[in-house]
Amino acid sequence: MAIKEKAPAAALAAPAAPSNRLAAARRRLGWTGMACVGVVGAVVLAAVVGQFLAPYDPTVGSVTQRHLGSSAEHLLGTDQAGRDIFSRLLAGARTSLLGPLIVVGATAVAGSALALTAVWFGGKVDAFLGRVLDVLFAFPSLLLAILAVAIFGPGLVTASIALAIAYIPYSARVIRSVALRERSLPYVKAAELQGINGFTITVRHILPNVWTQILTGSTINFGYAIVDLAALSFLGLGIQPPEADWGLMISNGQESLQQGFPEQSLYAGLCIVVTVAAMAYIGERLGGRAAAGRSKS
Amino acid sequence: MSSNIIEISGLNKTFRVGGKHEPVRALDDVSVTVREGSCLAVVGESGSGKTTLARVLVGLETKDSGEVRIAGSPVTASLRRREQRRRARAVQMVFQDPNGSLNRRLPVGAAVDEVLRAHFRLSAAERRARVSELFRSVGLTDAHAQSLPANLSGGQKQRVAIARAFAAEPQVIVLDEAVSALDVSVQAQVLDLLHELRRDKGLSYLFITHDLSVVRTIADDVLVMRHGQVLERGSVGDVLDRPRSPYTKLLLECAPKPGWKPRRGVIDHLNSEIAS
Amino acid sequence: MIAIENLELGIKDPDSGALKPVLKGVSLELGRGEAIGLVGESGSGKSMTLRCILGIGPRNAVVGGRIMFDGENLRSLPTDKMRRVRAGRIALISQNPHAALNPVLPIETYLLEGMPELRDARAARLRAGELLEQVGIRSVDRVLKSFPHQLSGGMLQRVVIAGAISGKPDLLLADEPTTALDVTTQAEVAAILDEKRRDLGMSMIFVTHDLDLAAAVTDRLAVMRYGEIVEIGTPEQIRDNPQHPYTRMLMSIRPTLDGVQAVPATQPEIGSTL
Repeated sequence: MAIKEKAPAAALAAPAAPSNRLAAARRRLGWTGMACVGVVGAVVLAAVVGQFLAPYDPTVGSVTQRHLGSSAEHLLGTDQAGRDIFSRLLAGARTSLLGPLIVVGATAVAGSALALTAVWFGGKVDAFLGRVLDVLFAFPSLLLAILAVAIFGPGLVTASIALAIAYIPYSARVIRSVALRERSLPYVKAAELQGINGFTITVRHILPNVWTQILTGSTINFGYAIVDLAALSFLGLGIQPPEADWGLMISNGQESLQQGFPEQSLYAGLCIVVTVAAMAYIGERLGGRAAAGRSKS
Repeated sequence: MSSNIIEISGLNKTFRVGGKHEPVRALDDVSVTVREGSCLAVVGESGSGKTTLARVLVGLETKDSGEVRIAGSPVTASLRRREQRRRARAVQMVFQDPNGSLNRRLPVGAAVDEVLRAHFRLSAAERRARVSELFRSVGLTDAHAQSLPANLSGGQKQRVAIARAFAAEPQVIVLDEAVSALDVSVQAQVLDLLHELRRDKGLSYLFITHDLSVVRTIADDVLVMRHGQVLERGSVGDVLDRPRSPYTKLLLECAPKPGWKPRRGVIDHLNSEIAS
Repeated sequence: MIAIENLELGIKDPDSGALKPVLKGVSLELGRGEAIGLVGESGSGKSMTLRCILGIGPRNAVVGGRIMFDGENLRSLPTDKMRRVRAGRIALISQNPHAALNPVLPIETYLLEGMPELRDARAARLRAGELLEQVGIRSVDRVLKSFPHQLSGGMLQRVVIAGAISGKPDLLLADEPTTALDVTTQAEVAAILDEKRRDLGMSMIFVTHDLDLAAAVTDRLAVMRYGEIVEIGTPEQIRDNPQHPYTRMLMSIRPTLDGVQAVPATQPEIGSTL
């Protein structure tokens, strides 16, 4: 009398193949989500090759061509310096994405490292790191960034790193709570009992299990970072003119706005809104807003 | 006359629960010995201290006072690297929940491989051969080693946990309710496997359980605990057939068996008997 | 009283659309005041059968067959009528009493909610106390004021039983009600459940993995495996003269207190079936 074990041989084949995971991600995203992926893909493409596709040099304009409306020659018209807005948007995609990428990357690495250290050692180490994060929490992120820029001078990298420092407590707090739950599971105890050292357990066992949270948190942070960096550029603390950058373009468009030429600010703003919305939607779909650790910026 | 592999004497442990409550005495002057190559079943209900005893023995919990020795050398809950490794080679544990005790994102063969890597200087090929051998010894194949825990049944997962416990080649294995979560048909197979492995490898077991009925299949001796104290200790035959403690009698009486009917008031009856 | 006729249930895989059968035509009849034990291992479909009676099957489930309860098919009953049946005539006792009790409300509120017909607060409180006494709780006042986390599992399960019998339902569904309890507490709670059910003349479906426990509190046993009832009979028939090979296997390998129960030689090694 054979008591059959449940797992059929077929199910034993291989741990979920990558194509399966892609398919699963696609299902979770749905049609809107796939459209968002398309938007983000287009922005990334613009960031990589936009400069070469641009019909005009984004940094050079002509005084005679100021504030032209949209036409066959200038798809979206020109700005107050006579530069082609469409070309500037294309070129601006690079800095507008690169900055947030630095912010998100630095935040994820430092946040995870802090959180996992706190969780592994627990007790006093956890308490100490918790206090440090509390202190960081006390500073509004933009204020911190302005402070850093005031000390180290304006620029994309300075502004990005300053923002990353401001984001770390949020991301560390979320990762800590997820990792804490993971740490309490019996398999971690089991690994400990096998005589495997803490670093290996953290990297090989805990990290892969909190990876999803880190990733979704990052996509949502990405949206915030675009907006915050644009704000810094708007304040003149990030990218410096005449470089093309979406945030900078909004700021440059201020005067024209008052003179009745809203195009530059409008289009740049639209680019930011659409990219951020697409990013946030993807992140939300993949992991939920909770993963970012805050309800709004 | 074989010597004792586990020697625990005068072990005490208290927990503070909440703010205003009295500290709970989880272990109250507990002394236990296990002969080399034998299996001691520790039986008790929730709150008896049996799990705390297991956790102190494997170093997951600190003790307040008392002495714990495995093969003559003391066991502590020290987190120092060397002590941790030494402890791992002396004593291993199999947990109740086969789902929780395996990393859901790691193929189970890799989980066993990791233990080999931590303790032995072996080449990749040697390790692969050893994993394969360990899996075979618990009735699993190489195909199982490649799969994630989610693709294995409860019984198979518990076999993996057993293989992993054997990987470090310990002298003692603590089985903490290791078959309690399994279906009876699977439970019988796993008990059988544990019995076989013990015989072949000359290991010693500490078998923690709430279920007296599985004791006879696996254990040589039984220890009955309640409220952190040892109430009775003896050979399986003595304790199950001629129990001395009223509590053991009650446990035996309450276990469902053919022709059995549950009775009301058993707990009150016991309390009055113990008080008198 | 209740007749389950050819109950089928499949769970649809959201990806492939394939139907995974969970119940494959379960038929069961239960008379008034009768208790039946549904016994099986995990995945046998015993709990799923209970969920179907309550109309709380899982998502993606495709259900077939009829569940006749006093001449009405529960499966075709409109939602509001079904709710009334669930509220008044069928009571569920599940494995985890914590799931049944709201952690932020005292026991008293839980019991009073179950008796909306008693308008007078004092009468209701008296009745709640009475119910607790019936399930063997002596410090009634203390328990009424307690919150779920302050009571032990055995105590909570008694509270749930008290709540279940307060409306004098026709049918009790007990889903592994004592599995999470200690063996001495299990004996006590099983005894209380058995006694109350008999006193009030309720029918009961008792789901468990423990053959001997089911035999002790029911009139008939139905042994389930892979979504089917393989054998049905009185506890004595099942114990002394099991017909189906699976029942025989279950009887022979379950560990017992009385003697060494060798694993039968025919028992296949797990690897061999793969």
